[in-house]
Amino acid sequence: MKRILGEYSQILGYTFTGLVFGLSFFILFINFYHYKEVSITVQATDYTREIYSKIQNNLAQVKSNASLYDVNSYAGSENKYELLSIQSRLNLCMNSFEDEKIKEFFDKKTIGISDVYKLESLYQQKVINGCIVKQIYDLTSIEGDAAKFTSNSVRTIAPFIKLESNALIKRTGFISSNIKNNSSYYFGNRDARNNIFDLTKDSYYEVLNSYEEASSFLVEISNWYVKVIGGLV
Amino acid sequence: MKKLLNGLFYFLKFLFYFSAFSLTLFIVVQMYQRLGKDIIDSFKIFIPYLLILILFVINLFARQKSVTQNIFYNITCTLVFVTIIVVGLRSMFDENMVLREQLGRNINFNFFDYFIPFMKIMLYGLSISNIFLMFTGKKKKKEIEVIAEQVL
Repeated sequence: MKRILGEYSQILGYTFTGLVFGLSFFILFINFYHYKEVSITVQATDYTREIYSKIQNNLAQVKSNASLYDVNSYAGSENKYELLSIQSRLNLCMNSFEDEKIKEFFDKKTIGISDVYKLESLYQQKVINGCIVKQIYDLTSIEGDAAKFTSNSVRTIAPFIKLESNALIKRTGFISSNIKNNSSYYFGNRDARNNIFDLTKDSYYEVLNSYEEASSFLVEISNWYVKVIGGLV
Repeated sequence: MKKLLNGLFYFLKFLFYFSAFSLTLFIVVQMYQRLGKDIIDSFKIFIPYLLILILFVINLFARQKSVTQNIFYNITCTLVFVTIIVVGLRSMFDENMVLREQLGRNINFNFFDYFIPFMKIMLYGLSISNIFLMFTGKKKKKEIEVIAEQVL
């Protein structure tokens, strides 16, 4: 009886050991697979440099437009202190756009999913929050019952600013939420692998295109500013 | 050769046990501190660790060769602790899992938290199999001879 119980005990002991062996083996190797899966990189193309030069041209134009205003020699009908404020806002925007950390991403030869996430976060923080929301969208804001900027010219451009800013704010937000999904433990398959690859490649260019669009938007604002100080609007 | 391998895995089993335990303790303490939870509440995560340590000590002092000299059991123990270490290290150092940065403290708590139930299953599984293997008496030489005669 004792011997039979001992044999049953041995069978059960080996069964449990085998099951645990199988589970740990599976989890260990699925981790190696998942590690490889999320570390997929894609090659950056020359399109990155093309976007970068477009952005540089846009920024140079904004810089030159903003420098045209001189508060001491202005003789137009608009409030000259409001125009001075807009000039300093454009200059502050330039600082946000010319952030060194963002520039590093244009020189990358290969892009991983963490690079896309970092670029998107920096873009949101510096360009969208630092420039578009705090400096440009703020031109249309209301303090109490009155508008912050009372000039007629600002009132004219306000709908355009609101529309473009809202579009830019919403454009890349989905990327970071999609990328966060790669941090969950899941059982990898070919679809997931392709999804991460596509997400890395497409999201990177999506952020860069949005960055370029934001710089073009700033050019539009600076062109409008030039017309205002020249008395054309 | 078998004896040598068994000795190696027996040693690795203890080495990796303490490494896996330390790593789990570090991550769980950080996780509970981040959430502002009482660290004493995390005790239930360490119950399987405690249980298996008690069983290892019993195996050691009671000289239960059916467990200590069981190469398959020792390999499985080593594999389980290596898995825990790999997952712990990934949640700390895998930069491509972006929540690592977002959750703060440079640890992907989300990833490790998903793993905790698997860790418990594996550790409880090892404890159960240890208990079963404990009661497997080693066949005496005479018994083996009798069985061999019957077969022949």
